[in-house]
Amino acid sequence: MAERLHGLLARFPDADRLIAASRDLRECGLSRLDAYTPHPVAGLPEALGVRDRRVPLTALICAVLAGAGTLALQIYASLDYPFNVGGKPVVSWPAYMIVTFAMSMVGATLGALFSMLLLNGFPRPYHPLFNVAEFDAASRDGFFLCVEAADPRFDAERLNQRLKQHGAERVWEVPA
Amino acid sequence: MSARDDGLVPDLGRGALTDRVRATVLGRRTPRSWFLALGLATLVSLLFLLGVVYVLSVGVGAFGLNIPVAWGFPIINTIWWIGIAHAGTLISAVLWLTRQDWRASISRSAEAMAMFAIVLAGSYPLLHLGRPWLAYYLLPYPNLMDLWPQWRSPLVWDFFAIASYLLFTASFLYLSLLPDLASLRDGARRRFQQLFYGVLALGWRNSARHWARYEQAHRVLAVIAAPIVVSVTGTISLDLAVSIVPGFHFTIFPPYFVAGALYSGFATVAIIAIILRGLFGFRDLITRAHLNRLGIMMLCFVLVVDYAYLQEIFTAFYTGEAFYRGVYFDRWTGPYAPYYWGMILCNVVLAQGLWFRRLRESVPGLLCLAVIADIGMWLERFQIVITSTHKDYMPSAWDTVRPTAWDWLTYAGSIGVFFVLLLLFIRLMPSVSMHDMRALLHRRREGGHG
Repeated sequence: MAERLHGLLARFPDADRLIAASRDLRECGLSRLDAYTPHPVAGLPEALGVRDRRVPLTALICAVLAGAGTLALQIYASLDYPFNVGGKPVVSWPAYMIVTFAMSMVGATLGALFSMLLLNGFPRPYHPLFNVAEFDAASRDGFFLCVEAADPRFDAERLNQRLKQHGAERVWEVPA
Repeated sequence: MSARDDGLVPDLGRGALTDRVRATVLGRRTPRSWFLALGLATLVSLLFLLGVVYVLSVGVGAFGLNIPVAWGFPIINTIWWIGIAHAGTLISAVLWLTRQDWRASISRSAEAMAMFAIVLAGSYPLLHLGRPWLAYYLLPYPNLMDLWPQWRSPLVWDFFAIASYLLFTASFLYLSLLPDLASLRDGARRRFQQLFYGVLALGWRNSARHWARYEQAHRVLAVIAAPIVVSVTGTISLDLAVSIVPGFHFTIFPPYFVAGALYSGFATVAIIAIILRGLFGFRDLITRAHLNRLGIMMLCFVLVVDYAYLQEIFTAFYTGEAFYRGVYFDRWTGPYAPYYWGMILCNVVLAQGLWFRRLRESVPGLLCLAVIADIGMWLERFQIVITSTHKDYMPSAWDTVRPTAWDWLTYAGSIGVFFVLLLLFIRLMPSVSMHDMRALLHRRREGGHG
C-alpha cells in the first residue's frame, strides 16, 4: 500500500448503484465522500448529504445590491447636477428603472457565476484524482465514488470490500 | 408520447456521443469545406474592416445619414443583430426551463450565435457615435467635467441594456462550456490541447458537488434570461417608441420588436443547424425533427409579427392624425415603398410556407425560409427606422436619404465577421453540448429522474 493515500476511488456501472453506494456509506458514518458523474444525477447530492444553497443566495444578494446601488447612483447624479428635461421632475424614478433592472440582472449573473466558481474551489489545476488515468472517464461515461483517507472512519480494506459489494467494477488507491 | 422514436435523441451511448463531438474539436482532420467556408467568410469580413477604417477616417457622413434621418444603417443593423441574438438566449434558457428536450443538441450553437451577434450589434452604435474613442462618456464615472449620463435618455438605457446582455451571454456561454472543456481536457492526447482546455476548464472534476452548484447557477441564469430576452430588444424599441415621431410612438413596439427578434433569431439558428449538419455530419444529432421544431417556432413568432403590422396600421388610422396616416401612405407609395412591399412579401406572404411540414423538414426548404426571414426582418427594421424619421412632424425638415456603398459594404462585411467567429468557434469548441446530451440520454434511456 502506498504510504500516503488520498483515498479510494471506485467505478460503478451506472448511476443507480452509485447512489445506493453513496447513501449506504454515508449511513455508515463516512463523511468525506464525493461522487463523479458525466452529467448531473438527480438524487445524488441528497445521497451524499450535500445541502448548499449559497449560489442562489449570493446571486440574490448581488442582484439586490447592484440594483439598489444603480438606483442610488442615478438619484445622486440627478441631484448632483439637476437638469431640466421637458419639465420632468429632477428625480424621475420611473425612467431610472430600466438601467436599475439591467444592472440587477448583471449582479445576479456575475453573483451566480463567480460564487459557483469560487465555492467549487476553482481554479484548481491539480488534484490527486487526476493521477488515476481511468478517472478521465468521469467526463465521458464513468460513475465514480471517492472516499477520502482523511475520513476518521477510513479503513481501506473494509471499504474496498464494501464498495465491491455495491457493484463497483474496480477500486483504485489514489496516491496523495 | 413515446420517448424513443420522436427522432430527437440520437441512437448513441453516452461514451460514443462524447467521442463523436470531441472528435470534431480534437481531431487532426478539418473538413475541407470548413476551410472553404472560413476563406470565403474572411474575404467578406475584410469589407467590414474596410468600412470601419473608412468611416473612422472620414466620419459618419460616409454612411447615408442626414437630418432628420440621423439613424440609418447603424441602428437598423444593431436592432437586427440583437434580435438574432435573442433566439440563442431563448433556446438555451427559456426552453430549458420549460424542459423542451429538443433544445439540447442546438443550444450550444445558439448560445455562440447569440454571443457573436451581440458583439456585432454593439459595434454599430459605437461606429455611429462618430468618435468611438469617446464611448466611455456613456459610463457614469466621476470626471473633471462634472457631468453625468442623462439617465432619462433611451440612448443611455440602450447602452446599459446591450452591455448587460453582453455580460450575461458571455457568462452563460462560459458556464455551459465549463463541463465540456473538462471533457475535452480529458480526451485530449496532444500536449497543447491538454494545456489549452485544461486551463480553460479551471479544474472541473465532475464532482456531485460541482454539479449541484453548477445546476443552481445555471437555474439562476436561466430564470433571469426570460426577462432579459423580453427587456433588451424592448429597451431598444424604446429608443424609437419614446421619441415623438410619427411611426415610432407606439405602445406596441416592445412586444412587436421582441417577436420579430425571435423570428429572425430562430431563422438564424436554423441556418447554423443546417451548416453544422453539412460540416460535421451531425445528421443524427440535429435531425429533421429539430428542423421541424425550429420551423414551428419561426411560424409562431412571424404570426405575432404579422398581427403587429395590422395593429400598427389600425392604430395609425385610429389616431385620426394626418401625420400618422401620412407615414403609412408614404410607406406604401413613397420613395421607400419597395422596401415596405419587400418586407410584406418576405414576412407576410412567403413566411406562410412555414405552415407546411414538408417544407419545414426539408433542408433546402427550411434554409430558404430562414434566409427569407432574415431578409424580411432586416427590411422591417429598415422601414421602421428610415420611413418614420424622413417624414416627421416638421414638413420643412422632410428629406430622403439613400444608403451609400459604405452602408452596404459594412453591413455585408459584418455578416462575414459573424461567420468567421462562428466557424472558428465550432472548430475550437464543442458545437453540441456534450453534458447536456449525456443528461438527456440518461433521462430518456435509463428512465433516470430529473
